[in-house]
Amino acid sequence: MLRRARTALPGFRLSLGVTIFYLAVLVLIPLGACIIKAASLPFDRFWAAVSSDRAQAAYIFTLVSSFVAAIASTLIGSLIAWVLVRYEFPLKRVFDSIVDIPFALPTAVAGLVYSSLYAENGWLGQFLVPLGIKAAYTRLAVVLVLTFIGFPFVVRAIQPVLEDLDKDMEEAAFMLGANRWQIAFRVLLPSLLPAMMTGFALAFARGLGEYGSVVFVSGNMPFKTEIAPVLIVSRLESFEYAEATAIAVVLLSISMSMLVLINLLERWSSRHVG
Amino acid sequence: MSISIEHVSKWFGRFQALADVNFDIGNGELVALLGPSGSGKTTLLRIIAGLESPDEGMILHEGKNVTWESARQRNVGFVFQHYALFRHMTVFENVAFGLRVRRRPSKEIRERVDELISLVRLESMAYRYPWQLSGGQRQRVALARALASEPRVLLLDEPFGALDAKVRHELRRWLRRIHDQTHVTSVFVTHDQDEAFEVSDRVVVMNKGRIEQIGTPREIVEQPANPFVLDFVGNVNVFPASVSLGQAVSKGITFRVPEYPHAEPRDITVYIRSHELRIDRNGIDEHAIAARILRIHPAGSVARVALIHSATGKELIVDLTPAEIHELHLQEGDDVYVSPKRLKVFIPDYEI
Repeated sequence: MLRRARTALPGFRLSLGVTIFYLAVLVLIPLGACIIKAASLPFDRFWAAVSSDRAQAAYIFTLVSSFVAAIASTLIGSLIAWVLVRYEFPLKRVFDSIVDIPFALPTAVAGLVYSSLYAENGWLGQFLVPLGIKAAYTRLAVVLVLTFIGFPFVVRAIQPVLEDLDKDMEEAAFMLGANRWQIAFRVLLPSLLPAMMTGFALAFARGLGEYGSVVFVSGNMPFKTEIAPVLIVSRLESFEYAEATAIAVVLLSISMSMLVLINLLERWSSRHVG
Repeated sequence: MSISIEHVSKWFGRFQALADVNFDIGNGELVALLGPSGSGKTTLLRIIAGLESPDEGMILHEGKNVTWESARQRNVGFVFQHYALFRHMTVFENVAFGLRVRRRPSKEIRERVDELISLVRLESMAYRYPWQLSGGQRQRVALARALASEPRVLLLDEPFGALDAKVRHELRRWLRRIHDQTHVTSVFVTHDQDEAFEVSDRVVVMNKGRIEQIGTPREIVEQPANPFVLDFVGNVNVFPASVSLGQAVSKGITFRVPEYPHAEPRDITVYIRSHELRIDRNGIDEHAIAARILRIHPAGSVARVALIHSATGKELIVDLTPAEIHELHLQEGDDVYVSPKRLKVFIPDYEI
């Protein structure tokens, strides 16, 4: 039984209750329902649904594009965080808030804008397509839009750590004779690594689940640019609800294991940074 | 290595942090920059290090102008107040950093680092991370790291400021020992006069971006050059007074000032150090100050007595030995007489 521990903060039971209720209603019950629905399929149909060539291609494409986009987000996001923290320039506040736009913007809007910009007759597409860069209805398009959605997570994960980072540490490295590259790679990067990995994990997880924008930019060609969530929708449209949830369960377990793995990595690296 | 600071000035915006600072540091000397916060001492140290550049003037190492050389070229070791250890590196790697970035052979690095780690007596901690160490241990790592590449100058910015009193005292003596072993020319910044006097060969007293006095600890204590130094380096009782015919009068308290025999009255300030006042049960002469004891607080080898001048309410501070307190049976609330053993006056435009 929970014994009443003496604590300065009131309301432990109430807040724990609310937390559990919240988790249950918003997360656990829907996920559980998804698994139960998928379990209603006999095993051979379940296996057929989740292991079809089209489904496999979709998993791989989802994973690879999210991964590549998360890496791109990490690079771009780290750079943006660095610039926003370390330099003073006019309209810095404005730039800082622009980073939040992808959080607030309905992602379908992003998808529409990207596809019309990069389409053959779009503003950018008319110059890029003749050069052989097709950034609409291709795999590149998916990575591009996932990066757009993912990089703010990285910026917001790194910014506070960078602000807290001791300027002394850089000066110490400088006094010890390190050049700029040595300071960046031996001192700054290792200190920022845990935050970068958190940002990467958030961007990656976001990419795995992204639907709204990808539908518009990818062209949704099976075996080529079809992501797993789109495959789920197309199963739903043909009333194969159980098959749809079966794919959803696979996607769910992939995301879960990715997050666990990344969490372990994060913990390992922060142990070494202290 | 000797260092010369010549006509160094520095502004931060409109604030002048340093104003035409000049002095020399001899080879192998251990010099303290002492001053209150905002006196420019840390700025001066950072300019000597090459972390800041002066707006005017130059820094010479052995007569050679290094003002525009980088820290790497100057080969200066620097110890930061808050240690500034690399959090993701072990003690060993922290100490090795300066050698690794200079691409020394790994065998040499290992030998040198082991030697330094034993110099700072942290052999058992070599593979710990900074967050696993106490403050004093961290500062020792920082010192070993700064010494690793055999700097010709060692600079320390309030090195013991963040430590608790006992560790601070230990590390002071220990810094002095390390200096006597290595003989590396060293400059450290402090706002604590005891620390400056205990550790250094010479003390540079700074105030508002200027040097007030340079001298050995003894010279500064015994012959303070001006009221600021006197006030800063000791506990001083201050009496604004008017002087004429060898007597200074401050609100009913009279002091003998034989140095000023003239009839023309002048406004001066009388300074009496707290240990240069004595307490008696009976007035020894007509100038003794009648006062009541407010508080007696023991502070180790001295006991500090706070008194209040009965007539004017002015507070006085007297330092006595515990034995003297005992001998006189002093108690809080007692009425006693205070008289100066020695006093110092600074008369403007008038040398005594």
